[in-house]
Amino acid sequence: LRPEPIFILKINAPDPKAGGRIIRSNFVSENELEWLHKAQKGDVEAFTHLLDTYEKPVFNLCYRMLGDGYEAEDAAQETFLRAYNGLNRYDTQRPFSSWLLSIAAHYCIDQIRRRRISTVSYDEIPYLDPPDRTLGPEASFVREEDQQHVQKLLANLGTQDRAAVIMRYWYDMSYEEIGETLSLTVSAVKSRLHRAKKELAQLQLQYGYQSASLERTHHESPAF
Amino acid sequence: MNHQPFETWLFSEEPLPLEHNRTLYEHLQECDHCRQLQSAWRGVNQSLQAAPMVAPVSGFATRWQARLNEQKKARQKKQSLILLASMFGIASLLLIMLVLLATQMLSSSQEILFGWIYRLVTAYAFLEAAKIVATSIVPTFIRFVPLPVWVLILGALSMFSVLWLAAYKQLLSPRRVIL
Repeated sequence: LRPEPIFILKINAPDPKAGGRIIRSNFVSENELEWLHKAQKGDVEAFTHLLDTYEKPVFNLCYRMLGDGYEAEDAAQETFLRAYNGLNRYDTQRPFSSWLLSIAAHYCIDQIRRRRISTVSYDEIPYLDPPDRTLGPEASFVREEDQQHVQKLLANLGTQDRAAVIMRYWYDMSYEEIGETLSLTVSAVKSRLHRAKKELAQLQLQYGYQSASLERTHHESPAF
Repeated sequence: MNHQPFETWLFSEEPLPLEHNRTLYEHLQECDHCRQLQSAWRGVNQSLQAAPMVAPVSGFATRWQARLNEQKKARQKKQSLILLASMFGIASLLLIMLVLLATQMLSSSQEILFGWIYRLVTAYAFLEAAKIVATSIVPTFIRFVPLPVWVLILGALSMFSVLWLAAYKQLLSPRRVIL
């Protein structure tokens, strides 16, 4: 009997059309299931394979939540430690990615509440992604500026709203999945997302930021 | 001016019915607030869509393993400390009990001394009584049992002793211990 297909994040196959983001697949590879079973028996090497697979989505969530590379590294490491120590509590019928992101999100929310990280100056945040060599210096600069602006906008949202937006935009999660990950009802997720979007739009108006790349697309002559 | 339900429609992810779409379009023609909000949201949406996944610095797994090892060491150290503290606590408790007992003994040393003398005297009396019984019964018993029976009994006892020694030696041999 084949196990029921479950949703899982596959970072090994980034979709170039989605800006290098992860795409979703409804099948878990046999390797991952094997690693999970071995890791549940205490095999660190098997867990390291899982870590290699999920380090990017977990780190990205932490970075988008906390807005600081060092804090994100610490939070991602802690997430994997907690996951490793709590693997016996993990239900293999549930998507591993959701479980992992849930740990990361809750940890980041706690950290923000505890350390009040939202006061960090976002002008000093380094952009951690390796520079895209296909982009020219001007495009790289514009991209980095856009990223700082995105982080600045996210930093103004409440922690739960921020997590919901990140999960919706970077992980293409459904309302149900976001609700399950953040322990919220579907209606609460919808309401939070709506409120967050409105807040982001108002902040955009307030900052008066206009992305150079967006501006360019507005002023480009139409293709005939 | 009331901007509902237009604001809700602006941020809706589901496609609007044709009628709502037309109403929204007409509202946007005359409402600067909603038009600005729509334009701002388009900008944010595009920035969010374009934002890539951020990756950690290479060697994340190695750093995690190092951290896991540190955590394990810290846990072992904590467990050792807890064990040591527990042992120290038990030892302290025993010491306290010993001190209390010693104090009690010192306060009633006379009673304890008499108690021990009484026990020694009783034991001595019991041994004397046993000696008397043995000296009166054993000679009669020896005379009653014939000589061949004594030989048989002594032979059996000797054989059992040899067997016991052999079994004892066998049990203490290295091969047996390893098994």
